[in-house]
Parts: sequence; C-alpha cells; structure tokens
Amino acid sequence: MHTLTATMKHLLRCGMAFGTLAAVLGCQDLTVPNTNDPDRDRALSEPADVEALAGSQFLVFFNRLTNRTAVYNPVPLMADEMTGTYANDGALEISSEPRVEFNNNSEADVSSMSIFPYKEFNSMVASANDVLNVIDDGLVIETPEGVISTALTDNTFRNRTFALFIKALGQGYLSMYFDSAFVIDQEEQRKISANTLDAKALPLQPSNQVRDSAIATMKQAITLADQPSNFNLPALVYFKTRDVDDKLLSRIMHTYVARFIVYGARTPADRAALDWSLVMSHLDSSITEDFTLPLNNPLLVAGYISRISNSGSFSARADYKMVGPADQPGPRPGCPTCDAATTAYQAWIAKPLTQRNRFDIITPDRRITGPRPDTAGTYFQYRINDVMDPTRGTYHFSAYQWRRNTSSSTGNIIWLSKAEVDLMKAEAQYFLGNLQRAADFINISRVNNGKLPPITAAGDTSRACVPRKTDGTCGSLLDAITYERTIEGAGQDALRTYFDSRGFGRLTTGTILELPLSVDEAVATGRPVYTYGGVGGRRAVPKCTVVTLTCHPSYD
Amino acid sequence: MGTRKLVTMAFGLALGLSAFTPTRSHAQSGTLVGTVTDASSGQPIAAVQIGVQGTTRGATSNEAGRYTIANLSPGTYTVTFRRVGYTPVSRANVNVQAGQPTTLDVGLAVSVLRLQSMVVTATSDPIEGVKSPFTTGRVTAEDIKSVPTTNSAAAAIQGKVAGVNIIRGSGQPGDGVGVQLRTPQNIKKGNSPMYVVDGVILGSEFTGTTVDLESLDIESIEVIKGASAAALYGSRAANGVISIRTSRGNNMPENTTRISTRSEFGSSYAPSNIDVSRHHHFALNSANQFITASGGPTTDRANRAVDPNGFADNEYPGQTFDNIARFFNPGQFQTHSVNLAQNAASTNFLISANQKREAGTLAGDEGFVQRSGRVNLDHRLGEQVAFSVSGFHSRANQANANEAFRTLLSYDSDVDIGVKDANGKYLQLPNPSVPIENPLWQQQNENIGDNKRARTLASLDGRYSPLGWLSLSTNLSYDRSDLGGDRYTAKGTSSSVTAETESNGSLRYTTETTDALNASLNATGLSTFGGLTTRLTLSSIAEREKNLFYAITGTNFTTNETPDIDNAQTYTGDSELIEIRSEGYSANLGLDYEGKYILDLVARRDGSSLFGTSARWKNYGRIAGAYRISEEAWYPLAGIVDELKLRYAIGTAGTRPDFTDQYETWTTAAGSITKNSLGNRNLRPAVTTEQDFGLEMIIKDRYSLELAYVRSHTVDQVSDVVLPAISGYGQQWQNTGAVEGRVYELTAQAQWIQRKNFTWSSTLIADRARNKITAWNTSCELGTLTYFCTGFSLADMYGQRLARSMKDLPARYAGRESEFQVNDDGFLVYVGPNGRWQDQMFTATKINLNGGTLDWGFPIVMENAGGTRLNEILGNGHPDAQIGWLNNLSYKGLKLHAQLHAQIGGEVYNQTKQRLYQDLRHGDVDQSAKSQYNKKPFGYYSTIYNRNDVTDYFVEDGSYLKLRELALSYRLTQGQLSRFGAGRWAPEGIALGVIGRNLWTMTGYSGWDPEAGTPNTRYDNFDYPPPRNFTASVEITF
Repeated sequence: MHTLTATMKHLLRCGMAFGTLAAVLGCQDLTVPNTNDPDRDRALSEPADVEALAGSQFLVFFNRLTNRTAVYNPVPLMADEMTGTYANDGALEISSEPRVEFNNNSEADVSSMSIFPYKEFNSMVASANDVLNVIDDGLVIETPEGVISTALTDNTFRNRTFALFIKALGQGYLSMYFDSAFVIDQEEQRKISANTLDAKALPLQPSNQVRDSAIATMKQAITLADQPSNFNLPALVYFKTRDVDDKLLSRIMHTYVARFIVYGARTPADRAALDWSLVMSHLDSSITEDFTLPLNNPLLVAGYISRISNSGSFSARADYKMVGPADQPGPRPGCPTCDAATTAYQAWIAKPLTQRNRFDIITPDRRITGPRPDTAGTYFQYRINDVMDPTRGTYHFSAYQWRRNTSSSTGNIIWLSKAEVDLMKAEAQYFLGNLQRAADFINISRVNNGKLPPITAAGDTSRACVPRKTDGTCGSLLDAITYERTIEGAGQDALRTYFDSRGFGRLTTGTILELPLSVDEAVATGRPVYTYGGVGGRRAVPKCTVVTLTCHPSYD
Repeated sequence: MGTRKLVTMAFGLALGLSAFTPTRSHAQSGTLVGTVTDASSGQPIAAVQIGVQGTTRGATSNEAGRYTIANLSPGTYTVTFRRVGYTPVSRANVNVQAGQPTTLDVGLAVSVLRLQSMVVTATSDPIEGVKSPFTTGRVTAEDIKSVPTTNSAAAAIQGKVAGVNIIRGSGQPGDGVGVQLRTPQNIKKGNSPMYVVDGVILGSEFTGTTVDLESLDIESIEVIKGASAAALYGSRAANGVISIRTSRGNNMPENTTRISTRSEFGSSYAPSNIDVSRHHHFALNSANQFITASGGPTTDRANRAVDPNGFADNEYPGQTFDNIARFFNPGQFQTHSVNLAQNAASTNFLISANQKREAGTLAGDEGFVQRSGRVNLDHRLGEQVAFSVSGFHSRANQANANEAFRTLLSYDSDVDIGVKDANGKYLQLPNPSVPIENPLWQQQNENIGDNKRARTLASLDGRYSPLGWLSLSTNLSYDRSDLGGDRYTAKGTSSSVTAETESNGSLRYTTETTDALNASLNATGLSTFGGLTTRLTLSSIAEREKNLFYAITGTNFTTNETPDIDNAQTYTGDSELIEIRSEGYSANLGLDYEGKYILDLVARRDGSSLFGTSARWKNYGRIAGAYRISEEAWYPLAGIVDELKLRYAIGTAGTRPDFTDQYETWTTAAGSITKNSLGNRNLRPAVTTEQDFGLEMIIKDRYSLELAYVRSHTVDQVSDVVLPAISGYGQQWQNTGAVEGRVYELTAQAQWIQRKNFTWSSTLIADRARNKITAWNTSCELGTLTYFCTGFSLADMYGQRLARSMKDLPARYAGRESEFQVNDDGFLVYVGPNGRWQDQMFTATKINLNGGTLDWGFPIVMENAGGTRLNEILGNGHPDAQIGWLNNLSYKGLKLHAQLHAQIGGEVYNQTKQRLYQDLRHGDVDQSAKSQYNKKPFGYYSTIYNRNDVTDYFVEDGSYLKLRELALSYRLTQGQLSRFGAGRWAPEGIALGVIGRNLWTMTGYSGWDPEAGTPNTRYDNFDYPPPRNFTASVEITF
C-alpha cells in the first residue's frame, strides 16, 4: 500500500511537472510583427508617410532612367548615342550589327531592358493611385513645412498634384517605351489591392491610348498646379536635391506632355503626322531654362553619367553616328580615302563592319572637338586609347567620349534642357512650315554652344556645313534639327535619345522600334511572350532607302 | 512572454527536477557488479558503458573490465552494455536484491558494423540499430579523428554515408561546405539539413553552421536523411537532420583521468592545371614589335592592331611569365588541441581547447584562425536524477581573400604580375598600358577586411526517473552566433586605375547576431505486456530565435589614415530584425514484439510564427515498421545470415517559410517608400512525404548490407510568384509547386580481419539520387543553370547547343546543307558552296542567309522551329552515382586510414572556361601547336563563348575518383616509451602520424576541381580551388 501511494505521488508530481512545463512552453504568442518593413496600413496611415510615398516616386523614375544598369547599359548603345563593347545587360547583343531581334526570354540578360522599366513605370502608377485613393478617402496630409519649421501645414493639394504628375509620368513612359500597357484608374487600383479584382483579367491598351491617358492625367495635374495655391515641393521629399514650386512644376509637366507626343512617334512618318500646333502650345508653356538636378550621394546618383564618361573596359564612347555627321572632308592619318571631297565618317560608313575602325573627326563644332581633332570640345573629349575589345567588332570603337559632366554623384545633371525645348519648337515650326522660325530656334544652341555659323531656312550649304549626310553632302534643315537635338540631348538620361532618334529615322536598320510586353508581365498575366526587332523583323527599323545622316542605302 | 522569462522558467524547471529527490531508501538498496570481456579473446574490456533502464544509474568498466553500480532499488531490470567497436548487449530480467550484490558478467562481440550500433536521434529514446525501422547513417570518432576536417565538421561524413551529397565549392579557408541529404525538397527555399549538436538545435537564420563546429571533439555524427526518419523534428526537418555528439569523458574506463594533446603541422597546396594561352593574336612588324592599325610600332597595348588572320599563334615580343604559378603559394596549416577528461562513478566530464590556423593558397591570403573551447559534464544525483551540461565557444577570423581569379588568369602572358617595387610590394599596374589593377597588389595593399565570427552553444539536460517505467527529461539549449565584418578603404586609395579616381575614404562595419533558444520536456513510459514492449514518449518543445543585422557605412573622410566612423562625413546604415517563435507537441509510440515485429508511430503538431496567420498550425506524422525475419523460429539461414530485416517507413516533415514571406511589405529607404511583396495570410510550410523501403542483413557477424529505396514528394512549395506589374507589388509568396525524389542507397561493411594485432575493416557506400519538379503553377523561371518548370530536375543545366551535325542545322538554312561541314572540333560550320572547313576563309565578312547571320567557319547556335535560339536540357549536376570506400587497418601500433570517393557521371558547368574563352585567355585559343589548316581565329572562340549564355560546350563530365583521406600513424605505448628512457614519467602513449587530404584526383574535368559549386548548382565560376593538404601529427596522452 505504501509503495502504491508513493507511486501515485510520484505520478502526480511527474504529471504536474510535465503539464506545467508544457503549459509554459506552449503559451507563446505566435504572432510576431515584421518591424523591418511596413505594410500598407503602416505605410499609408500617417500623413508624412503618404507624402513620402508620393514624393519618393520621382526617385523611382530618376533611377530607372539614369541609375539602373538594365537600362543605361544597353539602351544608349542601341540608340547609337553611345558605343561600347561591354556585354552586360545584353548591351553587346542589342547594339551589334546586323541587329538581331530583342530576346524577350527571361533567361536572356537583355530581357531586363524590358522587365524593370515595365515594372517600375507601373509601380509609379500604382503608388500614385494609392496616394490619390487615400486622399479621396479623406486623409488630410498635414506635414511640417521644411526641415526647420515643425509647424504642420495642410499639404494635401500639392500631394494630389504631384501624384497625378507621377501617374502621368509612369503612363507616359510606358506609352513611349512599350507597345501596350494597362491603364488602371483609381477604383481599379483599389480593387486590385483588396484582391477583389484580378489584374490579369484587364485588357491591355495600345500605346497611343496609354499616351492619351497620360496626357489627360498630366492636364489634370497642370490644372491643379496652375491654380493660385502657391505650393512648394521641398527637396528632400520630392525632387531630392532641389525645391520646385508650383509654377516650375507646371512648366515641367508641359515639357513632358510635349515629350509624350513628340517622342511617342515611332517613325518619321508618325512624327510628321503629329499635331504640331498642340505640341507648340505645350512648348510655349514649358521650361524656360535648364531644369537641373544637383547630384548627391545617396540622394541622387546617376550611374549613367559615370558609365558614359568612364575609361575602363566598361566605358562607353560617343557613337560615330551621333558625332560623325559633324565631320568635314580632308585628309588625315589613318584614312587613306579621305580627301577634299570625302569625310572620314563617309569612308567609315562605306566600309564593311569588320573594316570599320576609329577615326579622327575634323569639325568646326566646338562641342565635339577643340581646334584639332585630338583636343577636347565642350561636350566631348578625345581619347587616345580604345580600351575596348577588338574581338567584338572595331566598328564599335570611337575616339570621342562624353565629358560635359563626369561624376555620378557630384555636379549637376540637366534633367530637362531648354535646348531640347527650343529644338522641339524648331521641329514644330519646321512641320508647320515656318522654316525661318525653325532656323532661329536651331541657332540658339548651334551658334552659342557649337560655335557654328547660323543656319538659314535653306539649311547649311556652306563649304564647312554641319551636319553632313553619309554621302558627304550637306544635311537639310530637318537634318540640322536632328543633329542638334542629338548633340544637345546627349547625356540627359538613358532613354531620351532612343525615343527621339526613332522618330527622326536615325536608328540602325533592324533596331527595335518599341518594346514588347515584358516577359514577366506576359507570364504573370497569362499572355503569350512575343518579340520585335532584328533586320527584317516586326516593329524594326527598315532598311534605308535614302541617304540620311546615319545610313546609306548602298551600304545598309 | 519574453525570452528572458522563457529561459528563467525552463531553466528553473530543469533544475527543479533535482528537487524530486530519490525517495527510495539506500538502506534497502542493492548492488550490481560484474566483468565485461571480449567474447572472442576473453580479455577484459575497459570503458564499456553500462546502463540500467528505467533509472539514471550506470557505470563504466575499468581497465580490468570490472564495474559496480551501487544503490539500486531492489527489483528486476534490463541492463545494457555499450562500447564503440562492440555489438551492444541487453540483459533483461536482472534481479537485484536488497543488501547483497548481484553479479552480471557479459562478453561483448567485436563489431564495427553500423547496423549494430545504437540509433539515438530519430526516436525519442535510443534504439538498437538492428531494430530501427528507418535508415540512419552514422559515422563515429574512429572515422573522423584519423583525418579531422579542415573546413567544416559536417564534411566528416562526405563519402562515408550513403545518400549524402557534400560539395566543397570554395577552398578559401573558413568557408564551409554545401550539404544535401538525398534529394532537394525545395525549389525556392534552402535544402540544407537541420543541425543538432549535443541536443542544441542550431539556429535557422545563421549561415555559418558547418564552419564553427570543431571536428576533433566529435564522438559521433548521426544522419537522419529524410522526412520519414526526421518526422519527429516536424516543420524544420524535411531536408533531414544531422546530429552531432561530442565526447564527454564517459567512454574511458571508470575512475580514469586523461590528458591528451594533439598537434598537426603541414601545408595546403593549390592545383594549377588550368590551361592558358601563351601566344597572342596581335599584329607584329618585322622587328617583332606590336603595331597600330596604321602600321606604326606601338607599345600601347590598347592600340595594338589585330593580326589579320586572327590566329593566336604569335610569340610575345618579350619574356613571358607563368602568372598562375605566381599567385599560388603553399599555405601553412596547423591545429593544436588539448583536452582533459575524467570518468568517475557519478561524474564524467571533458574539457577541451582547440586552435586551428590555415593560411590560404592564394598569395597574400592570411586565411582562417579559429579558437574554440568545450566543457561537457554529466552528473548523476543518486538513482533517479541526472543532469548534463554542455558548453562550447568558438571565435574565428577569416581574412577576406581577394578572389580575383578571373583577373589573374586574364593577364596576358607577357605581363609579369609578380614584379615588385623597391619596397618589395607588388605593383598596382604591372604594365602601365594594361588598365587592370593587379589583384596581388590589392591583396597586399588594400585593407579588404576580415570576417569575424563567434559561436556559443550551451545546453542543460535534466533527467528524472521516479519509477522503473517512467522517466521525465527536460532540455534547455542555447545557440548564440555573432558575425562581424569590416572593410576599410583609406582616403586617397586609387579606386579605379581606369577611371583615374581616388577614394574619399570609406569604412563599413557589419554585425549580425543570432540567439536561438529551445526548451523541451519529455515524458517516457516503458511497459512490457508479455512479449510486447511498449514505449510512449510525449514531448513538448518551444523555440525562440532572434536575428539582428545592422551595418553602417561612412564615406568622405575628413582626414587620411583614420579608420573611424566619426571621421566620415556621410553615413548610410541598414538593419533587420527577425524573430521566430515556434512550439510543437509530439507523441512517439514504439512497439516491439519479441524483438521481431517493430512499429514506431509519431504524431506531431507544430505552430510557428513563420506560418501565415490563417495557417498557424501544421500536423506531421510517421508510421514505421520493421520485420526481423531472422528472429523467426523457422528462419533457415541462422548462422549464415545472422540478421535479416525488412523495413518500411512513411513520414512527413516540413520546410518553413522565411520570416518575411507571409508579410505584406513596403520598402523604405532614404525617405522613399515603394511596394515590395504582397503578403499571404494563408502561407503554410511545404510538406514532404517520404517513403523508405529497406532491406538489412548481417552475415556471420562480420559483414553487413543495407539497401534502401526512398521516394519523397514535397508539395505546397513556398514559392515567390511574380504579380502583374500594375498591382505595384513585385511578388507574393504562395504555396505552389511540387518536387519528387527517388534515391537508391547501399551501405556494405566488412570486418575482413579481426585479430588481436591485426584488424582490417571496410565500409562501402553507394547512392543514386534523382529528382523532378512535378508541378509548377506559376511562370517558369531560369536559375543560374536550372529551369524551374514542370518536368525539370533541380540540378538540370538548361541552355543552348552548338550545332554538331547536319541534323542540328537551323531550319532557316534548309536546302543549303551542302554549304555546311563538321570541322575538326566537331562543330557544324558554314563553308560556302563547294567549300571545306580547311579552306581558311575566316576573314570573309558575315554572310546573311535566309535572315540568319553567319561567320565563315564559325560554330552555329541551334535554333528552334520559330528561328530563335533553342534552349533545352544540357546535363544534370547530380551524379549518376556516388561511391565511397573507407578502409581502416591496424597492425599493432600502426594504423592506416584511407578513403576513396568517386562521383560517377553528373556534369559541372565550367563558367571559368567560358569566361576565359571570352577573354581569349584559355589554352584552347592558343593556335601555336596546330597545323596551318587546323588553326582558328580568335572570333571562333568568341562565338563558342556565346555571349555567356549557358552553352553545352561548357557542360563537362564531373566524374572523379579522389583519394580524399589518407592517414598513417604509429602509437608508442607507455611500455615502449619507458624502454626509451622516459621512466615513470612516460605518457600513456604517443601517436605519430602523417595525414593527407584531397591528395589525388583522377578526372577528365578541365577546371581546377570537379567539386565545384553547390550540390544542386554545379557552377564553376573562378571559385577558390579546394587545396590538397599534407600534414604530420603528434598526439600525446597522459
């Protein structure tokens, strides 16, 4: 009996011990918050957070255009703005000749050229819609005005305006870069976030409808900015390194509308058919001086700048199709066929690809060289070493390199230039038939920056004419516009020249005219993967039939 | 409830068990005594561990084989006898009476057969190997200490346990190994096993697990390979479990104290067998000078004109250098250890200290230094209570080697990278016209920082056996990991020789700490009903883990040579906190009917904060059974096949999502906010179901054979699914996809010779593992080599092929077949109408044919019907079979240990070679030894390089045969030493030895070592080559 009692006591103790510890161990709260990253509720609950969400979208845009290798490696090379032999992000593949179709498979490096811009331009639209929905739901964005002042100000209005600007930017760049995209309104965005609408089921819109939506959204933003509200967009929240007031924002937005229309054209025919009066009306309200952004690590960094000015094996040079039209006839070392009637650029383009080598440019354009071919111009400098890989084709070589600004994190980047606006005005006046007005707009940069003689309505027909076509003859007035816009617009961002050059018909035969739906999006939305480009391919630059600044039918 | 509270309560409860002091009176107790002898020789055996089931009581035999277990309550017991090298023995119905000793003498049969050893990890209580209903691999100290691992304790099982795939992808000192048990279960999550060291479940968020453990202290490693055996461990165990037990002093004779020291000295040697080009493809004039495109001489390498024929067959104008030989130096290797162990009646302990120093084989690499200490102690408080304490601390420093092997290999042969200045320093630019910074200069001059790591493991076990049939145990374990790194670039340091810029100075510190705490409580009841023995264990376990990472970077320094963050004018930082809370409850029922029919059942329920809020709990289970045919009365093979067992197990285990997967996340950085991942409240762990069929036999007590066939299926893969871009979110983690695996395993052991002075035993293992994605309900994706898509293996290499026969000709060239030929390299090339590949028309410009572009005589990439590049499976990184053969011989004091390890089949992707083709530096590009008609221009090799796409040409057979371990030692006994004059101060023994690791490799692979990459991604990308290592050792025991 004693033993049984003792046993029972032991069992009781054991049971208590097990039960107690099991209870101790089992009473954990298994809900652990993620303190590293906010969710939607935390991200959008505080007015300052909503403002940060709106404001930070400009950085998304800036980085995509200037600080992400997936764009700044391949696109400037594909656009014949810059040249190089590095292969990262498909740069060599997409810029080599003869051009091949764009490889829109996820396993191809070059597909990142499509995947990331598609993702981030859409992300801008989605975030802007989120901000607009929160504001429409009644959130008053009261935030401190400036760094020193802690007094709260109702900044709802400026945030609504800026969100519309960002949404329009995202849609506008989708329309310029891709053949199609989704156009999502605020209500649809709300449903997608709530998982009550499957984005896969929505229809894709063709690029012109996406562009129209972008312009309509931008006009809403312009209407708000033009109201007498007098708001300021403080640097740290919005454009990161400089303040922008409502007046300047309005001008910036008009400039982008002009871009959407002009750069949206895929071919010279598209360009000629534009409503140039409408373009002119926006240009009249555009920026009146360069819109520059101070670069500052880590606030704003432009890797694109350091890439195009770097001298290592990853460096890029100025493509001869950009600076070559400035070349003048005349003998020079290394060009046995150059004479009083033949330019080195002309001789270069006449050679097979495997026989094209670097050459020195003789030009009066002081942006490209100094008085001698091997001295620096104001925008470009002469490089004695190639530092490129000859096995990848010496036709990629160039003796000239960008030097207007060279640091990715110091100095300024010209984000929107007055010269670009003037030269778009020149193009508008050209197509509206006002040739002398067009010449006047060209001469602003041509004379002041290039130190070239003024051009007239008849074009530059002088002995030392700039630009020249690939047969050595002087270019037309329109050629002068395209040349000027390319030289002045170089180095702004990694996409501008591509958009502009296709409408001017400057791109190399076979170059893709617009990007297909990104492979990630096609797969994510259950659509087929397709592609464009390549010599003879769909949505590709056709073989040239007339002599232009960049091609010659005999050698194409 | 906070972690501190959890620790306090569990610790208090663990110690509190001791408050349940024995209530049985010692006055009424009895004593068990006896002698343990070798069954064949009759010689006494020391250090046999004797245990009395149902109590904490036990003893260890002394040098005379004698043992005594006092203070046993009167009753009937089962007594077990265990010692490494002998078959365990159980004696049931041992009757202990009060007031008088009970004598139990036992003879143990020698055995090194793993089947006869105890399995301690896969079940709640240890079980004899012959009764185990599932596969468990085991390696003991004998197979580990002969050749201690240099880089990771986990590597000690490489080639010794079937179904284990270990790859040492990096030979950098301090880098660990990749371990995979059987087949990969996860597509997007890790496939490394879970580690348990002396009961400490190692943290899941820490990456240095296999590096920090010291192999010299290990007593055994048990490998629980799949979900069926690992079901007991629940949500973390789908990839299997590796359980490591370290020495505790209890394997010595009772009442023995022993001090032993061990030192090993030697060197590590790097291979140097990559073939590089010794000739160039640039034009020379008659004076043997480089020339420009204009024809003038130049010393400017960047402006050299290419030789019109493009052949890399030109001699360099000046001296050439073997730069590969210059950047490899033998690295010094040494380890030192000392340990003190004691085994007494109620207490045994081991205290050890170790130091390891391994210099890298890359010139200037200071390598890896590790110091560690261990304390293990077991103490028995009377008959019913026992506790164990284990502690381990390790500190290590790994120099960040500059692994710029591509740069080093890419230097032209006429550039002397080894040239030094007047101060004995390497030059930053060995040749000023080559704008590539000399990595040897970087190694010598730049402070590229160190990785510092510390690891602390501690555990406390308590065991209380109030009744003969009931025991309670508790475990509290703690794992603390610290990782730190620094990287300093002085102001003014040239940051790029090509950009002509200097650094403004930068300093970066990173710190990562992980605290993992596990507490468990187990109650085990044992009962016998006639011939049926039952064992039921109820367990409760709680896990708490915190991982904190933070980093700070300062740039733009005010002053020079002041590596202090305060000196920086600009700061950036980063931090991340991860916390995991989990708990589980399990029941493990073991049934054993007359040792013949064995059934093991597990039910486990896990909850974890890593699961979505709507899916917090998950159930797992196991049914395992074994049928020991040899125990049947009618068994006809008795005396020949002594043990014959069939077994089957089916069980489930899980793979948890990572911390952030379930959450909706928006990324904040530098004042900006962007959407990142859409959360998933329903996210569950992936679940692996494994079936394990086995046949085991022991023949004449000297030979054993284990065969296993295993099938696994993992569903609900935790996968990141790309969302439509307009949602704004990049992805969402969802449960989608499934993987299946099939494995064949063989383990054979033989005691060829077992005599007093001469023994020879062998272990042969072999396995074959295959896996396939059986469902993938999202977009197919390309990994480094693999294509994540239904029907593909996780080790498949997916890429493009170069055409090698007419059937490979792209369709666009149909009808023009006569214009193509297969050349001497086996490639189909364009040769034009009536042409031959020997015609040497390489300088022809590109040819456009039906929309395709061809270079004359160059290889052609195969296309699909649509005219785009064809991508398909090119190979598989998993071997067709692995074979390991381990031998241990001893003759008197002489011991020989040798291990051969072979991989048969399986491919390695030689990205190193592909890049050297790109750089035109591979030896294949060198045309100097070819006849004029066979020469190929450099562009030919650029075409084979194929823009760095995965290409079949670089998929190489990874088969190898390695002499992985070789050790020869001789032990001088105390008697011999005394005769040499050491007298009474002579140590107990001195063992002198020589050791070789990775000594010899037979392979057709053209890279440094076929053991490249990771178990699933065999990608050789200029990795630090694994060294050969040759050392001498001395071990002294007092």
